[in-house]
Amino acid sequence: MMKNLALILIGLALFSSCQRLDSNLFNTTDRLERYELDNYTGEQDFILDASYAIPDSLVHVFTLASKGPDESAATTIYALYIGDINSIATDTVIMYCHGNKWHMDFYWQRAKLMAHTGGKNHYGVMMVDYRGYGMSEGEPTEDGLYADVNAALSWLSGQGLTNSRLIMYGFSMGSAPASELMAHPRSMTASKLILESPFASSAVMAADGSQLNMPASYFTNLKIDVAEEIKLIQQPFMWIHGTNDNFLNYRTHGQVVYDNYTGTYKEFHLSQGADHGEVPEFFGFATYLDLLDQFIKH
Amino acid sequence: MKYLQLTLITLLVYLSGCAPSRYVVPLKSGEQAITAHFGGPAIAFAGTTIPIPLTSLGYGRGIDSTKTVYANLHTTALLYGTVQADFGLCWSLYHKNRFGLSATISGMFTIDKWEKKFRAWPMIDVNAYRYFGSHGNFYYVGLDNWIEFSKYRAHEQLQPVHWVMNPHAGIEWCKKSWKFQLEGKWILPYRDNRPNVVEYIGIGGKGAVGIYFGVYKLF
Repeated sequence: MMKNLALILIGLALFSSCQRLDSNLFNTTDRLERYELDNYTGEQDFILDASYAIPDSLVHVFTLASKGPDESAATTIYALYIGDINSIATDTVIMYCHGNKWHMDFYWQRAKLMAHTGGKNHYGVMMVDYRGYGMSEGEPTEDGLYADVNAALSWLSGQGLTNSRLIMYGFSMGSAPASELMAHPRSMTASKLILESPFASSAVMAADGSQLNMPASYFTNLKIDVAEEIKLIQQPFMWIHGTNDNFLNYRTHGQVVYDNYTGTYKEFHLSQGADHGEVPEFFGFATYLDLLDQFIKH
Repeated sequence: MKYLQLTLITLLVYLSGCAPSRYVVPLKSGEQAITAHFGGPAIAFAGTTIPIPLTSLGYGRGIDSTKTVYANLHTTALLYGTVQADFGLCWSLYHKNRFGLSATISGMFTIDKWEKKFRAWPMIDVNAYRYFGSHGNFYYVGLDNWIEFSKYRAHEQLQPVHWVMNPHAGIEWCKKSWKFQLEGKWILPYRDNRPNVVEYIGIGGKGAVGIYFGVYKLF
């Protein structure tokens, strides 16, 4: 019996699997057949009233070809631009990197709200569904996040946007591509960075979850590390976070990112009592938009 | 779950809730056991509550009538490329009539095949047990304690917890050469279980409740 047990244990060790939990980190749904935007009736963090309506002529849904540096073929992803495409060459544009949940329909209200920063359609707002999200093809990967946001930046650049008029905004998991593409620019380098409820790193997630000093490599190969990449960013940085964020603790995630920033200018605003998706609502939409506008104009 | 589909991350986090008490009553001198354990902290998943399916296989041997040494390999962790094993010594502190006390000193060792990061945590368990019936069945209560020596955690942040204490209670049934174990554990009962990326099921918003099953084949 001892011999059998030893053989079983040795066998298990030898066949230690290469399974990883990486794909389980991405919170996608079944592929969408179309985007509903204002007609979307599923769960949303908040729903704006009619005063925040955007004219149809300023809402553009289209596809982009996204190709990472190590990929041989492009992936078709879906993008949304709020604003006049013909004036991108002169407008300021917010690149909104959405969070991990679902698709652009879920984030439509947020993007629409952002399009009211400084007044209705004062700034353009760009958003993409990462590969595997919404109607975008492919499967989500960490490199894919970066490639997909870069595809959007490349498109904006092609429309005449310049670095000085590009604002990068990352919400939750979207803080990863936002930070990565500012720390290691590809198509464009944004002039300012806004992170809402950022995800510090896989290591913080593992440590928070276990309460022990447990490495993230025990369960994932994802290298998302906003807390380290922020050290490479010099452009002005604004951090906003809810004090009651029950998902990404503002002290262990957001505060670490903020403290690690050593660039030219930073500011933070805590939304008292707000949970993960509640920051704009708890600030009050007008206050939230003012904070964004003042930072952008700073 | 809310923003991340962390269905499987929980297999490895809350590491201190990865297994029940290995040996509450030491084996007889020369007696051996092959063991299998299953269970873990309860989480909210797909609208219901489930224990995380952590598994381990082990071997124990009574070196005399009061001491048992054992080793366990955590098979679920192994599936994900992390070699996790615990080794320990359980000894009887006190035994009179149907009541007894025991203690276990053990170590948990982990290393992953990806980045070769190694961690070790010493553990001390104490248990009080009482026999019932006539077949060696007993129930028990106890505390398991993990020690975290690291001063810092990720990003040079101070490690906030150095002593993880988990109370537990269980029961073991004996049938000829088999033993069956059911244990409930309250992991980190003094810590708020939110904020956290994982929706643990605790009591009053504290810690996580763990449910475990064990099977022992004695020979």
